[in-house]
Amino acid sequence: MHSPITLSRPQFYCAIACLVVFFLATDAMAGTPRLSRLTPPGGQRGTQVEVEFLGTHLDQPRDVVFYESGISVDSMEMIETIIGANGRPQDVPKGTRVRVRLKIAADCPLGSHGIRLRTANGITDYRRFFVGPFSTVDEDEQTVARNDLRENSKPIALNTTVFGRLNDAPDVDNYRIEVKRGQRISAEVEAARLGVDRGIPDLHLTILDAEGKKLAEADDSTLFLQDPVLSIRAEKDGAYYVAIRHGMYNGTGEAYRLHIGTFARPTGLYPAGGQAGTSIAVSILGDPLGKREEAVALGKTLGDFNYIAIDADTKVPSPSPNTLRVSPFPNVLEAEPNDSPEAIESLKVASLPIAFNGIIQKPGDIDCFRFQAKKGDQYRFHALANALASPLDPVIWIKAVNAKPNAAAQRATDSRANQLGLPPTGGLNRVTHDPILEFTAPADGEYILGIEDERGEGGDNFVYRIEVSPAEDAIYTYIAPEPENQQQPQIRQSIVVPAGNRYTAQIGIVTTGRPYSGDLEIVGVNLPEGVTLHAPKLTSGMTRVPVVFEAAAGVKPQTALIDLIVRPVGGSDTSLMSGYRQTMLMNQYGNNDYYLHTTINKLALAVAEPAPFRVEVESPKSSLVQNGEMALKFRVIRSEGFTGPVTVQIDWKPTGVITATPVTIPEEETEGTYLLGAARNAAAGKYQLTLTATDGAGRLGYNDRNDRTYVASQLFGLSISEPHVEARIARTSIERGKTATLTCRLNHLQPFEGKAKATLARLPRGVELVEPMREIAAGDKEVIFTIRATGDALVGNYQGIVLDLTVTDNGQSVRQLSGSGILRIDTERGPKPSGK
Amino acid sequence: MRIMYHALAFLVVGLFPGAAGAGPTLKLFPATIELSGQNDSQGVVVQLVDDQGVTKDVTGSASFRVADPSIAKLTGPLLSPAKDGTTTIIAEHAGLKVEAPLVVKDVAKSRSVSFRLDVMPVFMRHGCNNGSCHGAARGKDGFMLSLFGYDPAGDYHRLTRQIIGRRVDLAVPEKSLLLEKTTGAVPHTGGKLFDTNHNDYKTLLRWLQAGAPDDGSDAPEPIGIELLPPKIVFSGKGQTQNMVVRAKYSDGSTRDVTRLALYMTNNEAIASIDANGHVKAGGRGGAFVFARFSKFTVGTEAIVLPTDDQFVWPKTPEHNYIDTLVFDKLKKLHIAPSELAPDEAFLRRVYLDLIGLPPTREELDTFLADKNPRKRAILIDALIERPEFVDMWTMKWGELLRIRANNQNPQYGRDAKAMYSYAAWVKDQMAINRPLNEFAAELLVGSGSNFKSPTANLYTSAERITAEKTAEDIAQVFLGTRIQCAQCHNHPFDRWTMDDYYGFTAFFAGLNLRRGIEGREVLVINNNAANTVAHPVDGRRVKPKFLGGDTPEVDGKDPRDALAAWLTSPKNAAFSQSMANTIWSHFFGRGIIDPVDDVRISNPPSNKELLEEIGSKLVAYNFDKKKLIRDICNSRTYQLSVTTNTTNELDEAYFSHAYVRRLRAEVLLDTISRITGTQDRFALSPPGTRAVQIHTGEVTTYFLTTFGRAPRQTPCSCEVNSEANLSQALHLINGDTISTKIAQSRLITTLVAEKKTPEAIIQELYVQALCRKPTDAEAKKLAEIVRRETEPARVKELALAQLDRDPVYKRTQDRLETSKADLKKLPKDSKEVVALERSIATLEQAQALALRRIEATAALMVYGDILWGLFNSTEFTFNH
Repeated sequence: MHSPITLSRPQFYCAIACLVVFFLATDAMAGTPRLSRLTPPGGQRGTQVEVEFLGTHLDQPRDVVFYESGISVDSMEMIETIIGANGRPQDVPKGTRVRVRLKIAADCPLGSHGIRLRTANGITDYRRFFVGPFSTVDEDEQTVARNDLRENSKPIALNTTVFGRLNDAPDVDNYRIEVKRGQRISAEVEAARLGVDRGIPDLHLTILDAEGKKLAEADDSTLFLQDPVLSIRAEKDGAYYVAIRHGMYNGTGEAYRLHIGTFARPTGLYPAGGQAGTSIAVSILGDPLGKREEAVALGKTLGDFNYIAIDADTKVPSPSPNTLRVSPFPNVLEAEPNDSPEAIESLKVASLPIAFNGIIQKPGDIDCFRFQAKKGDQYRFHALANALASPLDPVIWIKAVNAKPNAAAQRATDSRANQLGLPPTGGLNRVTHDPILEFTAPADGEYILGIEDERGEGGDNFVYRIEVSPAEDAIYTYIAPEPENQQQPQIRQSIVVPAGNRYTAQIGIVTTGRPYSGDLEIVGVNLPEGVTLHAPKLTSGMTRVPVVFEAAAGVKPQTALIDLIVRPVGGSDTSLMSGYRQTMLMNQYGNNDYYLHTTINKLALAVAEPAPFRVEVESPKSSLVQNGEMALKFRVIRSEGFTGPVTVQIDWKPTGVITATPVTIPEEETEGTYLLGAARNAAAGKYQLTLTATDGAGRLGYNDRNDRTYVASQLFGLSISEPHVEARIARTSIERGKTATLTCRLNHLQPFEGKAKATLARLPRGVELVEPMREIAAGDKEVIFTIRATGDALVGNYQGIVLDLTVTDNGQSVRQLSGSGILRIDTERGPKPSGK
Repeated sequence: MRIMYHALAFLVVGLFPGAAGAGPTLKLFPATIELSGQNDSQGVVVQLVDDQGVTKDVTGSASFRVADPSIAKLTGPLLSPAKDGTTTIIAEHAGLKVEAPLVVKDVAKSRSVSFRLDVMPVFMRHGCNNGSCHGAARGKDGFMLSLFGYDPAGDYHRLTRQIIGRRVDLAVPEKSLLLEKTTGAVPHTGGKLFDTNHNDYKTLLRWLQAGAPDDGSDAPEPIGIELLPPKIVFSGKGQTQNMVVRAKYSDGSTRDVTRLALYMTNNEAIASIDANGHVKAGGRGGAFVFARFSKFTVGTEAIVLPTDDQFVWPKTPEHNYIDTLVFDKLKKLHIAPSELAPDEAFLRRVYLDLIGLPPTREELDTFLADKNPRKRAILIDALIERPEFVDMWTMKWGELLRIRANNQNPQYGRDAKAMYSYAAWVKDQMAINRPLNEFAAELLVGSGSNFKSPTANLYTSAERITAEKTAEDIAQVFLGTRIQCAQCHNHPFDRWTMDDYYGFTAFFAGLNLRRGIEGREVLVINNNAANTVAHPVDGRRVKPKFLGGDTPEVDGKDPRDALAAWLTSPKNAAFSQSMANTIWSHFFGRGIIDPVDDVRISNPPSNKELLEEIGSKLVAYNFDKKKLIRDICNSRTYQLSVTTNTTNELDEAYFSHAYVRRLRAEVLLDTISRITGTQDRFALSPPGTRAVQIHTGEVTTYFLTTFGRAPRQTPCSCEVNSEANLSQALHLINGDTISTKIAQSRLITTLVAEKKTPEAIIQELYVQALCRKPTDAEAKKLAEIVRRETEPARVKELALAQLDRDPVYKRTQDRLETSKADLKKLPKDSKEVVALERSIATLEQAQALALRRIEATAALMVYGDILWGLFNSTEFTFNH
């Protein structure tokens, strides 16, 4: 039996009052804009598409940032009302929908396009928009007709993209097409790839014939993981059906884009890359009409090359690209038999650097290559398969040609995220299954490189490409995650700096190879005019620093995709590969992991409209001593009319520095102090820190949806040094009801001005100082305290008594704790005091 | 009279072919005797076996002599050596005589007291090393012995070296704590175990006096024991039989360990056994008594026949070999089988067992009308080929393989998606009727991605993958053997030692999970270089060894290939019998060994010959389960009635009648849904899924959970709970499942709409629910009630009572009355009058409609109540 919640009258008023305050607070300060999805999430190239951007705090939209070329904005407006289920207009919550008319160029690259929306207050999350070659139709199940059964399938023209939605867990959507014998029937799903924050967009695809017989089905694909693809050959003229549903009937209403038609849907390309600027003959794999070859002209740009297969006869392109690699070095293609080191005796010996290409054609297949190297040559062997969406899970090994058959080989099964230049993420990354073998030739001579599948599988599309390049280090930057990123991966992962203010990002670095030596500096590339970057040097061993972005007053609000590179201080050595990397986590499930990751290499920076407050720190004049503490003074400069509380904290601090919980400056007030402490192990040195200030009170929770405006102080120096005085506290004992003396021997490490105040801290219960405060001068060798034990003192050994010293340094008082004393408390001896 | 006599004689011949015409015989145990060393001795028992096979212990009344008395001495039935030589021992009783050869050797030698052979058995015999005493993991009162003596070297160390001079005082052996504690001379939590005159005291003292030596490396080890006599048939309550236990050693010697063995029985009420090995007959039936010595347990079957039994075997046709073997056993037990079940009962039983659904009305009518004498066999063949048959066995295997998702820890691979493909694979195998050995073999070598290679999921079913857990589960599922105990100590009631356990575990030592290319995917990968495990007692690396079999050569290979070949080999009777027994238990509600996954010496089969035969039949059928199922269903044994006779009313194990079994949760729900024509919705399943078809353990409903659906958390057969309990009864009576389904059903409305008579409708409900027509009494009484409850006046009354509880109706009624009152107040010509009148008309129309609707349902209510009553009858919820 549930009892209804009842409020007494005073409680009720209180609840109302709280609500009012809440609404006022949100009204006074618009928060960070968040973008949760785009609908429709894609469109046909060469057309104009009206796309709704859904999210929160999207008021005052200003512009859209595109990560790839080919799309522009035609117009943009806030949506205030929509047509509701009852056919009547209905208000939408404020700031949750923006209608953007996108113009997609006819030559716009197919596939995903990264998008963010900038508003007056900042910049939204990164979302992806998919450009396809086909015209799009809506499923319209809700408004037009159900299509749950084959009998009521929705007829679709060939080479069409359906934008549909699975209404509930058991929903099945059916589509009917008419094809001729010998034509392909291809289907490709975009669902998981669309990237929803939560949900289970893991769909299942079936192709059935006119009688309802299942011809093919797929739950996953090696190309797009959870997004299935199918391509079969029609054996007769007539109707065919494509059915789409949740893989396990467990969805919550996911949207999908389903491409249906006669297009080619290659599942692999071989070879999967070539030398920059050359044209290569590529075999197109996985086509039900048979393997064919095509000449592909590779560009000059190194790295991934998106290849779109176009049907030779119909000129219909695939809806999304396959990946080819462009390298600075030439190709070697496998020549069977190469299943064992002995089998390739007669093969040509390759010289490095080079790319070896092949296919693990059958289960248990091993491919071997021969190459030569000089003693001490360092090469990085990167076997790409997952990165090419190949089903292969490669293992590579190297041994000398003349090695004994059972000699141990150098072997690699996987790579680490940092070897790939990827920032650490909470999730699993498919590409780390592609092994990297860092090889240093032990002697001049010839070597055998072998590759096989870790699970012993194989097949026609188990394509691999082993890129062998000279070992070189690279350092990449990323924004280190804050606690709130655990639930909201994208929050504070871009730079929003109000004009005339500052913003701090904690920048971390990943090194692909050896740890760097020498000092490094962080440099911003493509910063808008009026925006400057202040970053401390990275000295050896550091992996994270606060970087302050400052926009001069009057800089107009705008957006830029910038890069953050790391280079040796002085800028003489420009060979270091560097850049910004961000792993985008999409489709979280459970608490642990994500279906999908994608990496972007541009940092979004927005200059926002001025914020109503700034924060300044008074640089500390004295240093923070180990085992000591100091108070940092700061000031909040409020714009007229802004009276709300402001919370201040330090996001990054050197190891061993302890900070207070965030300090909140109450309404109307402008000054505050922030306590910094140093542990005994804090490394002495000079550091640069910033204070981050946000509007609102209290610490940001893990799942704080009250988005806030962030500003930062200037960088200020903090030096950590040895304590002024080191104390050794003699071990002593005391009897309850008696007094005793406790001697601290002093060792002066740093001079101090005038006299220092000394007392004992962390005394046990019932033990007190007879004279609470003593003074010591620079030359004193010891200080003696008289202590008294009352009847409350507990008998036994007590550890941890420290000397609490306050010295004056550069006019500032600095407190430090030193020593560790042991006091034994004894019970009363002799006759018991009378009265007990 | 004469005919009768012949018939009886014939029966006797048929019954005991071995004893036919021979008259009573005398048997002496052991049949050969060897005494070696001057301290050796051997007890003997003599059994009189009459021509009915009934045995009698005549050891006390028989006379014994040794042919050459200079070779061995006799003290009652106890032999001790005198000088080396060969002779015979002769026993005589009631004019019958029996001889046994006797060898005496090494009389000059005196065997010194051995720690392992003499001292350790004392600990076992007196319970010193059991789990509640010093055998506990941390010992007891500061002294620890290995549980049931799995670690003799450790025990020796703790006894002699751990507290020097106390436990063992070699200077004054009598003052050793070992002796003072056991005799109660000093306080002992375990109390006084024996006094200083006891043989065991003397053994311990002799050992201490000899300096408490450890055994040399050549000390013989016990390799087996025998419990004699091997068969006991008591002819009535209160009779007794003495037992002899003889141990065989690795050096070829034997030894009488009757005094040192532990005894137990599996049925105290039928045959009890005391600490000295005296068996005593209780009530009628069969039981096993066991002796345990060292790491061995053996059993002897004890049958108790009723006193003054006038049993006559009724002539019963045998349909096939199953009947022959079952009836053989029944004859020995003097139990007569029940009659053949009538067609209706058979039909319902076979439908529910084979396809998990009751027959439809048409199926029932067709079957009853069929005059073909082979109609039962034809029906069985048809049902076995139905798709629902596949669903039943997919569910059974889903339970055994624990197909159940757990998305909390995707790193262990048990994601819903993996389970989906696993369940689909199992279903495919069942659909193509994959031979069970191939099915098991493919599972056992499963590797790779939990998504792409479904068989890999065999290794993700435990919470996390460990070699130990995997080995235990596989032994339990495929061999019906629980080896868990042997992880920490030798199995107390079975043959399994720690060496066996770790040998079997080593097959899975190299298995590991690696993460796949997305968070939910894991890869099961075997490291072929790591196929040994450490023995916990001494840390030595144990190589893979088949359970109770050889050590295969698997260095550098995946040992699971060898395991799969051995386990599923036709020669491996443990596998074929376990599979056959699992199938058997589905049709009888209990296995020949029961529970089916607890095969152990101390849990013997109720009919060994039958188990062996169905095991070898399964092999002969190339592990085609359908063929064995066909044999089982066609046997008269399966088709027997549940109605018992005086001889078999207590039988729960020998299949002399059909056992009443509650329907499994899934079958019960599907049956109710089928009859009411309703559909259930289950999570993670497409619409139209029946409960039997639910692919994964965590998907359930309140109904299924209450009725004991297996949560699939362990491989134990006990997970499927088919006991009846109060919450089930309450759910059937008060729960929403049945009442909602009856309310949603179109069965009754259709019947009424077809203008059927009450009698016809009642008959239809009976046929649907119980697969039989109502008896005349039932039909008459129910028809009366129906007539009474469907009289127009009564219907009106019911409808009004119903309306009174209907808030919408009441609200409308209030509005109607208010409107009417308002109408009266209004001036006649005002505009509102028209509107109000129209509104009143609409409301009146609505009320009339509601009344008609409720009257219509009220008329049907009585039929719903009858159906509800049928669903709540035990006749419905049980298979019989």
